[in-house]
Amino acid sequence: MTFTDCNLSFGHWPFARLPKRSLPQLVAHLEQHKIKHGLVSYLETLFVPDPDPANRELLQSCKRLPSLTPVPVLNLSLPNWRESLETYRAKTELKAVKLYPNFHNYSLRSKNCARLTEYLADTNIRLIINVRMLDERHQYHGLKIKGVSVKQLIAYAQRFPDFKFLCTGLFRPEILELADSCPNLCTDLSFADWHDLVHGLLEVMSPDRLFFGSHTPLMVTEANTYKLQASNITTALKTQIASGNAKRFFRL
Amino acid sequence: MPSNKIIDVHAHPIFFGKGSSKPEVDKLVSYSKSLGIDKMVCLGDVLVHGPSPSAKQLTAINEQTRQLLTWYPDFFIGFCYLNPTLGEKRLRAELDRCLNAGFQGIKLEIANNARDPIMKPLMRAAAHYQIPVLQHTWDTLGKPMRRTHSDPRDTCLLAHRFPDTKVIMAHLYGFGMRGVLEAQNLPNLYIDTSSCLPFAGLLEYAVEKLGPERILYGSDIPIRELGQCIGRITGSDIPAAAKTQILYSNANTLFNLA
Repeated sequence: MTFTDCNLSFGHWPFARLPKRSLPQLVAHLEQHKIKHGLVSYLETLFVPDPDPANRELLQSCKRLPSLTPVPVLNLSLPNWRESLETYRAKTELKAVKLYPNFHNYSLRSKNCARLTEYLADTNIRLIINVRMLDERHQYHGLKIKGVSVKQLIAYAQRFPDFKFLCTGLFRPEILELADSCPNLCTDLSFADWHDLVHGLLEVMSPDRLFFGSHTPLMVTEANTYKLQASNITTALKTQIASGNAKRFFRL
Repeated sequence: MPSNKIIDVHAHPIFFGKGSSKPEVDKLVSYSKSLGIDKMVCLGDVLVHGPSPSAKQLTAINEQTRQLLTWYPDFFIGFCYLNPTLGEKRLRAELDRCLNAGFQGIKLEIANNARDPIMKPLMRAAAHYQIPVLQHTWDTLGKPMRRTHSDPRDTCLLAHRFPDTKVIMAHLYGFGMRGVLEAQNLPNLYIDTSSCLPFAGLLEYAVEKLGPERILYGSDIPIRELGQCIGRITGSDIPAAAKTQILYSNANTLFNLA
């Protein structure tokens, strides 16, 4: 079984002692874990007001690495997000953009979020919304950021019911709460945890809504690959969740 | 894919009443064995009656564990769940009953803090019978819960006060780096790798500060997925020999299974 990783970061996370890898080293690491393709964003974009310089650096670097698809981060609280987005589109075949609403201090209810959604729907670019980077119970005291609320996600999903989007970093109880009311919401499995997890999730949502995400480098990559490999579901379903859904959704 | 032999020192096969039927237990054992789990420590349905269960409730919980041992004596290792606040007489009665049924350790949850003086009779009994005590532990810094939740500082103090008893400080991913540092220089203190999400770097830190000898694999199922819990060990950046020690041989030695 091979994987397409839709929750991958590159760069330095200042609150933990994590492996420091160059992009080619990251590719080699992913290869070791049978992750054949990854959608990657730059961690630096979370800690600076304007993510544009880091996005451009990542787009440039990934040109030489076909197994990585760069996913620029947009800060919708800044006036230049649309201009940045159009620049990225001009430079590359853009597959997706990523939002970190609680790092960049805006709401999914904002006008800019509505404008972005319309833009993405018109241009067939996919949206990834990161809900959290860490379990809130164990954040470093110097950086405490709550996850995006379920209430906000429901409001967003129901405001744009024909727009399918992917969330990364949802806990299992949140997925269960969102499953029925937001059929256009897909999720990665990196933060979802419970015995017989995938089997249980498939009782409340269709398999096309579940995506593999390793949350590398913040999480141990093999913990998430093996979580899916060891799950008690058919090989066909594992394959679909490991890579099939992402390949289709992002047109990889 | 991981292929190590594994002993899971932290499991709740029955959780809030679920998982107690024979078919459910059969399924769990079969699935666990398919992942290489050779033995699993059953700690009981510890929160089903709240944080401070009565003597009768404890007996009911431990009876469920005994049933699992009867069904799968070569797979499950039973730990006797106790509530130190009930007093020495009741504590000893339940412990003796469980040890006669083949239990091999004591499980403590959140009835009281591990630093409380009421721990003394329990720890003396554990030393007398040469059985380990597994204490739920969490980082309580800045949280209003320490009266009943043991911080790593409390569990390490317990191990320090009773050097003849082996103490397992549960939840590496719940007590974090501060707990690892508290655990230094306490040869009778073990830590288990159970609970929380598989954030990178912490196991490497624990191995660097403590060595691999006092680290035991644990899952905390059903709150966690077994594959994820195993993968966080097998995928960590520590030597292969250390992984084998953590997943299997340390617990094998601790429980005298060799």
